[in-house]
Amino acid sequence: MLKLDGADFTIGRAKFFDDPPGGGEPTAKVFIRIVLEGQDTPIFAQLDTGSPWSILAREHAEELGLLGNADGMEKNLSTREGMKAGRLVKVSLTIPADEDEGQSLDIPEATVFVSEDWPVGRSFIGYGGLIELIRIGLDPQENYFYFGPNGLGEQHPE
Amino acid sequence: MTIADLGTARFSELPASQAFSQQQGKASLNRLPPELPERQSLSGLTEGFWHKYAGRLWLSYATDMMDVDIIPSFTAGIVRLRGETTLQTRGAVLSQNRDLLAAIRSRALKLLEDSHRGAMTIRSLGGDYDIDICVRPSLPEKPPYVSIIRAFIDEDKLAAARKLLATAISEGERGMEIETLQTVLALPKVRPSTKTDAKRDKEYQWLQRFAAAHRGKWVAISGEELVAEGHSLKELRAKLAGLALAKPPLVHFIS
Repeated sequence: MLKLDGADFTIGRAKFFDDPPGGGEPTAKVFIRIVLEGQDTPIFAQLDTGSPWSILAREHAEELGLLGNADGMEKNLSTREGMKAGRLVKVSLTIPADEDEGQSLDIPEATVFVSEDWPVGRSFIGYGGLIELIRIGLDPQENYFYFGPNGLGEQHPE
Repeated sequence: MTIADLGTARFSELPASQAFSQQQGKASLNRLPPELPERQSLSGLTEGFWHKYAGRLWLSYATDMMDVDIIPSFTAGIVRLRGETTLQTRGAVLSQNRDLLAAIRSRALKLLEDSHRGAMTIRSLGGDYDIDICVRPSLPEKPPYVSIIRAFIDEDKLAAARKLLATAISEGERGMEIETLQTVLALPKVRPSTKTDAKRDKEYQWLQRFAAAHRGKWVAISGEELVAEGHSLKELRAKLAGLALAKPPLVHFIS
């Protein structure tokens, strides 16, 4: 894994996808895989350091029972899709390393934005409350996404 | 320049001392009320600014200037430090001006009392001439922390929201709304995990080659194979439930 001054900088890596799946994006984006709590099927989430919050696709939020209840906090989020009314809720997720490519990263109780009004199937990993707590690195030549804890959040080694 | 009669003393409101200095220069002394027998300064900043214009004796509000609010009606420098107004006097010269000090103190306290409608305590810091006069409001005058923090969150100013939340909690703010904010703003507890995912190069290849033909569908891909698709995630999950797969498929909506 990546090292900085001889110490581990990241703990795992996974291939990201930069060819917009399905052509929904006009330009290349970094899509990483995440696995949501209680599930085993990975899904894509677009890495977006410019997004203040992570956003979970409506359908996944619905599966997890995060829509239509009073959990969390109301929030209006300004997006390029316009202003979206939703809630900030907690969800646990994993950024999985590829097999034999180091360790994965569990992020319990991450704060994400969910909205009934959000476009189908689009999830984002944003800066606030998520990227800010991990170290990341990109290798665009090999399409590897490197990640590791940065020590800001409380860590619980297995 | 506004002058308030303080009995044997006068109370002058002045602009910010730096602006005063720039505008008036050395002539600024002439702009202070010439009829004052003694000149005192009241400064919410540091003891030095107005003192250089006002003379030997000064009256200043001691504060660390953090988290202070200037009370608009006393722009000359009455400051409030988290709901507590502190008026501090010091200096041996006061020994020569006890009557004047007493008059100033009395009137200033009256103003402060009227302003805050609160209780007043006077304590000595030691010696006869160092006195702190504190006016404590009888009612808490805390900022509306919850609404300000929510506004920060709405503006996506997370660092400011977290900082103010910490201040609010340190000042005793409690309740469900504070708990909700604590939860929302909490930093995730990141931890390593040894459970990894399969390499997905083949799934990516499938997407590059075939995704366009499945627009508007939820798909489940395993290796180079589309194992299920549906018009909704729920439909896709239902189809997957009936399959025995060697590894969990990659699930994706093709827009």
